[in-house]
Amino acid sequence: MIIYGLQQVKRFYTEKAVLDKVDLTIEKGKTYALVGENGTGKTTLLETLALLEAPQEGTVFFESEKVDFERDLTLLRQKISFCMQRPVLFRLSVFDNIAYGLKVRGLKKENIKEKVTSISTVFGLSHLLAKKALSLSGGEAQKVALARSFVLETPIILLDEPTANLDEASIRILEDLLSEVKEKGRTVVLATHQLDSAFRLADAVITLKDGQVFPHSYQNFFSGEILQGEGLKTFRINEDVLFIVLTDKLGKAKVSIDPKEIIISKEPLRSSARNCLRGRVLSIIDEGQKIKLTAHCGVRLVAQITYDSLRELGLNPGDEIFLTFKTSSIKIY
Amino acid sequence: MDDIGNSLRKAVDLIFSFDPDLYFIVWTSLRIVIASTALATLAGIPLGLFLALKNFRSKNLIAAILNTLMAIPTVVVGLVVYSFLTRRGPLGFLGLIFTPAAIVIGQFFLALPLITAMVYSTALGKEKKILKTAYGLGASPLNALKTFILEIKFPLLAAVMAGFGRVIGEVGVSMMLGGNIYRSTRTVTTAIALETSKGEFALGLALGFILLIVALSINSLVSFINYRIEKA
Repeated sequence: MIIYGLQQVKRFYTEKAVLDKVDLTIEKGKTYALVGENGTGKTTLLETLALLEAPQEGTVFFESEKVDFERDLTLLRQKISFCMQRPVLFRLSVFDNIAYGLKVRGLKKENIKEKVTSISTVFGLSHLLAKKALSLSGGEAQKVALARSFVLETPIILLDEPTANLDEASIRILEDLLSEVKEKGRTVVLATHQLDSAFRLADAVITLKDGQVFPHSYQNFFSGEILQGEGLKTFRINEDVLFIVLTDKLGKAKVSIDPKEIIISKEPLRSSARNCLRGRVLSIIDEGQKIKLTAHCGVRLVAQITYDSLRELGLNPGDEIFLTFKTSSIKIY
Repeated sequence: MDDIGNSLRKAVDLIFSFDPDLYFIVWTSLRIVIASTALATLAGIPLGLFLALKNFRSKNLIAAILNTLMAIPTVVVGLVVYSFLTRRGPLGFLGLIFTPAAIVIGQFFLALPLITAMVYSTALGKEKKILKTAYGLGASPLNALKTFILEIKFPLLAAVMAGFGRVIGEVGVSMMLGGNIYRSTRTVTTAIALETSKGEFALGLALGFILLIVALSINSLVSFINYRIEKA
């Protein structure tokens, strides 16, 4: 089921478009990582998803209905919790901050107390509940803000840089919570700089660049399982495709292969590289400085090559090729 | 220097003489100032919030006008209000000229731009993040506004105190609209003007000290309440 549908959404401040004709669908129950450099529109996109600001152009669909930003959206917004980047804590106690969303939803006092107590235990905030929120350190404040969002148990959770200011232990708590949330079928969109955690947690990665969405620009990103082979371990994507990997891990994992690390040849290469797959050229795209070559070899793999190599190899779509890469070029999450 | 020492002593003497005339003057001043500040607060806070939170085209123009009005001489405000309230003016039939109510009206227009402008500039920087946070947690517009006001309550209070400061020390409006009538519209500041014009510098200065003491007491009271609220 699709929860969000964005059609040609445009948001701009003054002249510059922050979101430029974004088309995007978000499916229920999935976790999305929103990645991209600073100032590429991640926060603006999250604010649009949080139904906080109307796009100047385009349409936002929420639960298959067109969102009318002129109307009071409180009831729709109550299905979403949004934890902002560098969150603002209210001039209240830690307890009242965490309880805020529950209070505005009109929950009973005992109920609020129970929920706040339980989420504070998860985040290790129990000893701070009576303290003034504004007296907390950056990391503590971030945890309060996250607890304030998670306590609401909304079907949709939007997080803007949730790991900023958090120490390793807290990041693990957050990741555990996110997998728990995912098991419960809730939808998560999180903007992050930390690609490792993005890939580890997410079902899909949305890449923003200059206000535009590139759904597949994190190329060669696969989910699968690491199996113990004879001697070496293999990463199995599907029946036909296996990569040889070097890792301590076993079981479910995600991997990515840098397109620059893939060598293209017309004959199988005899080399030290452990992975050599046979495939066919699907497309060759001129990206200015370099050539993006997409091949199919059971899965879709993207390689980046130079003009010279393209000319030398004389490649055309449909040609048979071999794709070779070292185990060390496979990044495992 | 002698004058100042003398007048200080005189001020203390006056305070402890429990002179009914003096206390009546102080009471008149306080009454008028509290009424005008309260009215200007009631109008200025919503107005400032409205300016900050709503997007419309002439916003910057209004802000510029407010900032200009903050600098307007008190006598000019007095004069404008006078032309309305005078017996032959459009509101003359109300019979308000030379009453405490007339001073309240004049001081209201004196404090309003200041309070509005301060509320506006306080709210403008913070509104986005606080409101977004509240909405992001599911607050209704009314709840979000309530949260926002509570979040900026200290700067709001500062705006009100600035308004209070502007009117308690003014003489132009009080003189022009009140007329410095004994036992009716004579305020501390108009009394100072009168005593000074009679050559009673020490008495004028003493009244000045009393005015400062009153202002200090009220400011301290507000800070104390603030502190108690913050600690609670």
